[in-house]
Order: sequence, then structure tokens, then C-alpha cells
Amino acid sequence: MKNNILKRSILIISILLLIVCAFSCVSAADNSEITMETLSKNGIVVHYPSNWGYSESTSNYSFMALSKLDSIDSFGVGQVNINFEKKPIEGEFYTFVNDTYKSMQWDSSFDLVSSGGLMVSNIDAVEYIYTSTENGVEREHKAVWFEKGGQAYVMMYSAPTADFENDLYVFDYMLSDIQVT
Amino acid sequence: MPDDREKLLRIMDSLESDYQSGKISAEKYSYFRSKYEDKLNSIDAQEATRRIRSMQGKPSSDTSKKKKIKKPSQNKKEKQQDLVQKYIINPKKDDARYNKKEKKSMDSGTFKLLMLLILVLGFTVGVGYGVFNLDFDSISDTSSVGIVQDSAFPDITENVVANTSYTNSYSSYDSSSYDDSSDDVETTQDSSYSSDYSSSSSSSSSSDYSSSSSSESGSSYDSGSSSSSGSSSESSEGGSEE
Repeated sequence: MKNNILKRSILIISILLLIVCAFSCVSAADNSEITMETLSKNGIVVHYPSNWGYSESTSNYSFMALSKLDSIDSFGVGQVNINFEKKPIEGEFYTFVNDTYKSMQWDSSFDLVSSGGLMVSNIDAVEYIYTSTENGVEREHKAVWFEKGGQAYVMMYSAPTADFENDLYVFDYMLSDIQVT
Repeated sequence: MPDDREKLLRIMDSLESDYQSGKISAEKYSYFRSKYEDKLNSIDAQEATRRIRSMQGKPSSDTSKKKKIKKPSQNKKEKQQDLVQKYIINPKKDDARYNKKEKKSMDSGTFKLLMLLILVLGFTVGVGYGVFNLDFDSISDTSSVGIVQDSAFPDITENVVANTSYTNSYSSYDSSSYDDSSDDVETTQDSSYSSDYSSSSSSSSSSDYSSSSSSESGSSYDSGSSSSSGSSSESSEGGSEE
């Protein structure tokens, strides 16, 4: 009697394990599609598509950075990036931000395209779009600044000018979805 | 008790008459006669015992009688129940159809085993689901896929357009190769400046900005067209004064 129960139980467990394995294989196949990932640091929570990845930034002010996976060149440098930086504010926030771009006017390799105001997670923010040229390659940048805890936070999307518009929607989505805590 | 004896004697008489008339067989007659005689003897014995006890002055206990009377009936009932159980309920001991035992409820050992298996099954399914569906990549963010060189705080190399206004006191000052206090600043001279100074080309198109070093050097930077014309006239005035 007991042996029969044991055998039946083992058989049922085996069948269920097979079902779970089969289901997981199907799920793994489905995961090849783009899903949304979450990144959280310094009170900033962002969701980004899985065809982007976490990157290291060379900037001393950066606390997290993302690169589009297929834009990373053979040297490991991302060409389409979103960088999150923060810097203690010296003086008033808007003056601090304006001074940053005023200083760019001294350098002919930078060209300010536009600027304006917007809201980021119910916080007043300013955006600047400008181009820069380095080693003959022109890149376009969209930087969104906001103030939090006496620090100036800036999210900046950068891409070669030719590809700038292609992935701008990802940055705009992250802006609309960002959580500032 | 005497009633019982008389009743028994009448029954024996009727048995005798029935036997003589041929209503019952000799076997039955002998069987019942011996049975009734036994009963009659037992009644006589009980009566004798009761008389002896009464002669001895001992009371006759009704309870003992009752017990004695009850006991045979209880034995009879038990015997009848045994017979019923033996020949009616279980007529054939070896026949499996009549010997079906009641199904026993699951004993505790089997129940424990089943519960253990259910727990193991639940644990296995849970672990399997977690392993195959949990996205470990989203948890660990330490592995970077690339390097980001863009920054909102880039190093600025300033290409400054210099408009220098000169006064008498600075008339001998050679401003063709003026360097700002900052090492990063590369200073050029406005082409709209007077022809006495060979100017380098100016690429700046910015509006108004002033360098902190201008006051130190006695020069002021005005890149606007009106300003530059003003400065040139100013310098020309200085030149005329000279």
C-alpha cells in the first residue's frame, strides 16, 4: 500500500517537474523579447529597456549610466548613452545651470541648439539641447536638470547627431517614468 | 416457585399424553422429558435449599436468585448472538464475499508520508519557478556593459574673442598675444580692431560676456559689433591723442 503511494507520488512529482521545466524553457524563449529593467541609485529610480545596459562613466559626477547595447564599439565605449550626474550647487540653481552653458559658449566645439523648461516627477526642471564636436565627430546631447537636496541632478542623453532622434524616445520615456524620492 | 413446579408437571403430563397418542416421536419425547426433568430437579433443589436456609434462620436473598435467574438468560442471549453472528451474518467463513472488512481509514504513517511528499513537491515547484523566472540581471547592477564618456560637465577649451580698449597709459602695451589668466583660455583678437594691430581671425559669435581678467589687464572684451566699433573709435581717439 505504502509502496504504491510512494511510486505514484514520485511519478506525479516527476511529471510536474517536467511541466515546470518545459514552462521555463518557453519563458526563456519569450525573454528574447525586450523587457523593462529597473535601475535605482541616489533616490532616482528609472526603468529602461533590456536592449540597454548599465555602464561605467568616466565623469566624476556620474552616479549611474546606461548605454544602448548595440551602440558599444570595439573599445567598449558606448555611443548612445544616458548619463546621470549630480553636483553640489554653487549659488542659485538656475544661475548654476546657466553658467555651465555660458562657459560652453567660449568653446567653439559646443553649439547650443535650444533650451526650455519642463517637469520631471513633479519637479521643475530645465532642458538644454546642444551639439559637441570631438575628433571630427559631431554628437548631440539633451540634458535635463533639476534640483534635489541642494544638488543639481542632470540626466543627459547623448548620441551621434545622425542617430540622435532614433533613440530619443527611450530618454523621453525614462523622463516621463522617472521616480525621484 | 411452586407454580413453576406445577406448570412443569402439567407440561410433562401433556408431553406424556402427546407421546402416547403418537403426536411426537420417541426421540423428541425423550429429549424434552430429560430436559423437563432437569428443570424439575433444579427447582426441587432450589426449594430444598430455601427450606434449609429458612430452618437455619438465614434470610433468602432475592438478589442472588435474580442473579441466578438472570445469568442463564444473559448466557442465552450471548449464545444466540454468537449463533446469529456465526450462521446468519457470516454463514461462510471462507467466503470472501461475506467476510468483507471495513475499509480502514488512512493511518498516520501514510498521512505523514503524503504530507511530506506534498511539501517536497511544493518546495520543488517553488524553487523551479523562482530559478527560471527571477531576473537576476536586474538585481545585480555591478557588471557594466560599457563605458560612457559623455558628461554634462565637460572640459571647456575657451576660444575667446578679445576686443581691447587702450588708454594712454596702456598705449605701449602689446596686446597681440594676450593670454588670459586661465591656462585653458586661448585668446584671439577681433578682426574689427584697428589696422595697427595685426589681428588673428575671430570665430566667436557670442553676445556679451566679460572676462574677469579684463580688469586686471586693463582690457575689456566686447564682441558685439556696436561695442567693437565703439572700442575701435575709442582706440582711434586714443591714437589721435597720441
